[in-house]
Amino acid sequence: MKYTILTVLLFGFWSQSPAQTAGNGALATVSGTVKDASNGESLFNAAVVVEAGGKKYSVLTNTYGYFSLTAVQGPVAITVTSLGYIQQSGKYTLAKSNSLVFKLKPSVVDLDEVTVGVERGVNTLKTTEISVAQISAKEVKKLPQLLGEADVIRAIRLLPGVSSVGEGANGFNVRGGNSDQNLILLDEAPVFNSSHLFGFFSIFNADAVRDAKLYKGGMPSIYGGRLSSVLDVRQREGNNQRWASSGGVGLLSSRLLVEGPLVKDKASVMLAGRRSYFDVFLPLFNNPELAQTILYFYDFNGKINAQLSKKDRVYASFYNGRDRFGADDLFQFGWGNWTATTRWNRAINDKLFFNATALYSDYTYLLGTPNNAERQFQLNARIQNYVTTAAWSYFPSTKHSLDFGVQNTYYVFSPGKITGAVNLSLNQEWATEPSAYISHTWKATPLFSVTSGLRYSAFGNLGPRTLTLYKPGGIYEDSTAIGTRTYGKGESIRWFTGLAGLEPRMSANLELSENASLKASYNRNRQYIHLISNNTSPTPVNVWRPAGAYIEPATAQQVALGFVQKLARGAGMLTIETYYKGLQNIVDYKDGADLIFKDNIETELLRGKGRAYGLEFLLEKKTGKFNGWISYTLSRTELQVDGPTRGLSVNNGAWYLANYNKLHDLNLVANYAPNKQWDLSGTWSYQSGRPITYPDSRGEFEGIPYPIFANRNGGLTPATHRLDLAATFAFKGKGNRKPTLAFGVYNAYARRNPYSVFFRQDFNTLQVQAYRLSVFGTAIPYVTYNFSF
Amino acid sequence: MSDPLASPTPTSLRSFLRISAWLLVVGGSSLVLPSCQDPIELDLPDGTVRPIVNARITNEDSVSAEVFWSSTYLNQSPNTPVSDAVLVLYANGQAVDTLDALPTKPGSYRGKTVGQMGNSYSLRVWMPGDPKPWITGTETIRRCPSIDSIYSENRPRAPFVRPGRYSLVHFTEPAGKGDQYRFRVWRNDTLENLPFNITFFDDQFNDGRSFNNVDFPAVEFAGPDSVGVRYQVEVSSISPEFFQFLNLLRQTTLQVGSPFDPAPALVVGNIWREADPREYALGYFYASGVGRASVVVAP
Repeated sequence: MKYTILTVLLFGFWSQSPAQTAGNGALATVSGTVKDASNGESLFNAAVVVEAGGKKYSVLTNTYGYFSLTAVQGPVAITVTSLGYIQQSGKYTLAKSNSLVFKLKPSVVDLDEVTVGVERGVNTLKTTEISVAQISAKEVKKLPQLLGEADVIRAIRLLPGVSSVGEGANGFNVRGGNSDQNLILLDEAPVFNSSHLFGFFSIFNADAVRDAKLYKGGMPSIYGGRLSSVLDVRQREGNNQRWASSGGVGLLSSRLLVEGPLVKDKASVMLAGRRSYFDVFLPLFNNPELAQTILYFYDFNGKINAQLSKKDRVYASFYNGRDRFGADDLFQFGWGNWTATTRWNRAINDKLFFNATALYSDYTYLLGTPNNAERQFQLNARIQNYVTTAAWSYFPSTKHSLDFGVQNTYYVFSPGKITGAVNLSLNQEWATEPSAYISHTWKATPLFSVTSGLRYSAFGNLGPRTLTLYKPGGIYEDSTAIGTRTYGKGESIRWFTGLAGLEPRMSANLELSENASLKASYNRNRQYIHLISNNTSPTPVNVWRPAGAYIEPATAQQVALGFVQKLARGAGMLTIETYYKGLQNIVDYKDGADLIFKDNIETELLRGKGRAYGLEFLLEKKTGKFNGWISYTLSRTELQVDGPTRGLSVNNGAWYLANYNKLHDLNLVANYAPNKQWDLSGTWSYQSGRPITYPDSRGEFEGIPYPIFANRNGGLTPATHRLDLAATFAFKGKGNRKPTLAFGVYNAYARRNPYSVFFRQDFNTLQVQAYRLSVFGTAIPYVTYNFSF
Repeated sequence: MSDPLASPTPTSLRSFLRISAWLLVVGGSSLVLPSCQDPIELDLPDGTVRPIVNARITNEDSVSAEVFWSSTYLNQSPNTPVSDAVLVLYANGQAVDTLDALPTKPGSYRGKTVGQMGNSYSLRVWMPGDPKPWITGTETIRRCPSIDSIYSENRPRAPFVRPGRYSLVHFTEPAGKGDQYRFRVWRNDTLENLPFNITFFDDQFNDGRSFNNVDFPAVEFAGPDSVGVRYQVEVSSISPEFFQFLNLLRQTTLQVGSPFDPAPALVVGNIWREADPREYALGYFYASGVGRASVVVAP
């Protein structure tokens, strides 16, 4: 009998939360939102800390500024912090259920607060997040700019583990992944080409962006569909306190943003636009050909949000961007994304949060003769996404939180349609990608937390389509084609299901002390669509193709270990991580693959595997007049394509370096604000040369010498380094309404960094020669006048 | 010499796409004025020395070949000719001719056999001191359109078009998809033979169409040029494999190293070691039907 009583007591003891055993009675749920007091914007990753009875209960706000945690009833102290905002503290008496709204004031001299360290400590030392970087629009704007444009993607390239194949290249590479392995989201809508003007600028207008979060590993289960990273960019919601406007006028582009309350405190709107005007200056060159050249980009961002009730909030956002390049009477070329997202948030109760999203994303390009040409020719290509998501977040207790949901993406691929003098069309493709996920975060002990998740994805390639059939054996060439088969609308061509669709995710955090943590993660990812590009950098005319009858989905598994140390009471942070990533079924290309307007694209593709591993180092100082960071990455990425014949292999099946392999990648970022008027910044970047294919002999055909490239990526370009400088001067004005003049120079010491080395015959001397191409061969100054009112 | 940008009306839409992609490459990489290209000195590795065999047979010319050894890429000396190779021509699987070395042109060989339409040909080659032969793929002489007319005309200045006399041809592509062609142009009896003169097209977008300024524009092959210059044009039918070889050759020799260039590719023709197909030689053996015409640029 006494043992039964003891067992019941023990069970009762262990089944209770620490809060109850603290002796102060019943639990309390605290939920609500954290906002920016000046404009009502929801604050993401703000830290809410409840202190009671010597214990701390903490949580971070989600993307919508929402939080929920379980504490104890009675008197408590609550502290709310967010980077760039003045900490708010207060005493509260908690009832069983408490709904609170916190409004934080922006810090004018924003980085002098010690409590930033608290916020960063909670964010980084106590959560299971690993391999994540978050950057705000404010930080992006401080960095030196190219041609006066603040660029989110150029900013994230300064972080460890993120690189590109070269200056001016489209896209970015994360931990040895190709640029199509990054899921780039704008308010949850995927974008398929994240650059304007062939890669010089990103499509993200920094004025319209609230923040960007990059997951290099430790990917939450809610994300899927890409192997290497997720860049989650969120637009601002709009000032729900007062009408405001801001913008900038630069040498080559200008921008304007207008925001304001539709109903104060309850509904707001944000509209932003920008346009470049290179074409305005071209006629000044007194060259009739340049005068006829069309060259510009524009984009529009918009968002409306409304608080319908205490529990319900709705959002609608859109993006429309376009690039145009052409020559009058000769050709026109345009490409762009447009996205539309609608969302409904509901706090079902103080422990359960719900988000439903429906969105549409569309990327198109057009290449052809001008509309007024006598003989018309136009090539259009397109990829469309229809995505619906239902996601729940449940916070049953301080120790546990649960995220789960379902999603479906419906794709329409239109890889090419020619109209005009000739009417031809490549087969369209349709596909659907249903998925479900669940993720559990468990604070097992005060020092150890683990997030374990599982995502399941499937993919169906559907008709209508006329599919080429090939002889058995897996060799897809025109010579092995044996006929065709026609599939009807919605008819299944191939489904990818089963255990291969399981994507387990795990991340863990062990606090070694108040100032240090050890982290680990594992994730398996699956990617069902591929960007078909055999260029060093993807071009706007590359098309996306789905897995299907002859193209397999790619998979990746990544493990990472990390160490985080808070320095100097939170003024600094040291992060060291190491990772290993294995990739299967990645797409590569036959030598000389002809990808233009190709229906049977499988005849040009090869299948291979990859491995990437590295060590990342990040030392940050985020407070004080002088701040910045040093990032260093040591890494290696290799691929292997070993087919049954020489033509279906690369380098005879040996491992070779990937195009985007960079052994050393060092970035120094420094900001200095000597007073309230001046802000100075500089970056210095050093990168090892990237792999390049050198010729090892010379052939000749009917008098034309040509290089023999027998060893793909067997050489390296010379290393690159570059210094960028910027200064911002704030004129007199009130609060955040000071106009500023931003100026600087990109590539300050005018280094001709080699983007590539290529070989050809000099057309005058007929001698063969090696050449270096530098995309930015000189210093590029800029000046931009920024205003706000 | 011809400038690809001087011809705004390409012979096929695929060519148009390629030219547009080329413009994209040039425009994209020189978009920002400060981009630049500089010659540099490099030490390149020494690769395997391989035979180079370039040979052809047409329905109007007897079989001919040039044989060399490959060299390191930046070696400015010409490739070493091979004068004592043995080359045997096969027609429809039967040995029909042995090519003779031309004493006046080291490395050059010629046979007596003139090709016949519809016949298939291949070569077997023995390099000096090597008992193991190299063999080529089998090439068939395919139908080829004749050139209906050739003429020159004056064009005024226009965007991306220099004013002057341009030379053009009319021809009709035979109906029935699956044809590939090559253009070669001689200016005053000298073959225009720089990489951007490599011109080829297929009938994917223009099967059975006439390039006669009524159906499709006439094909402009040269200009602007001076009055009195003599141009000879040869249109020849080629195999899909040779089409791919020329595509790769042009792509490889015209690369400017921009972000939009495809990865450098190994240009391998249709010649390999008989005993081991993985061991390849360089060059190409092709068989063509040809049509020719000439014009003198008139005032």
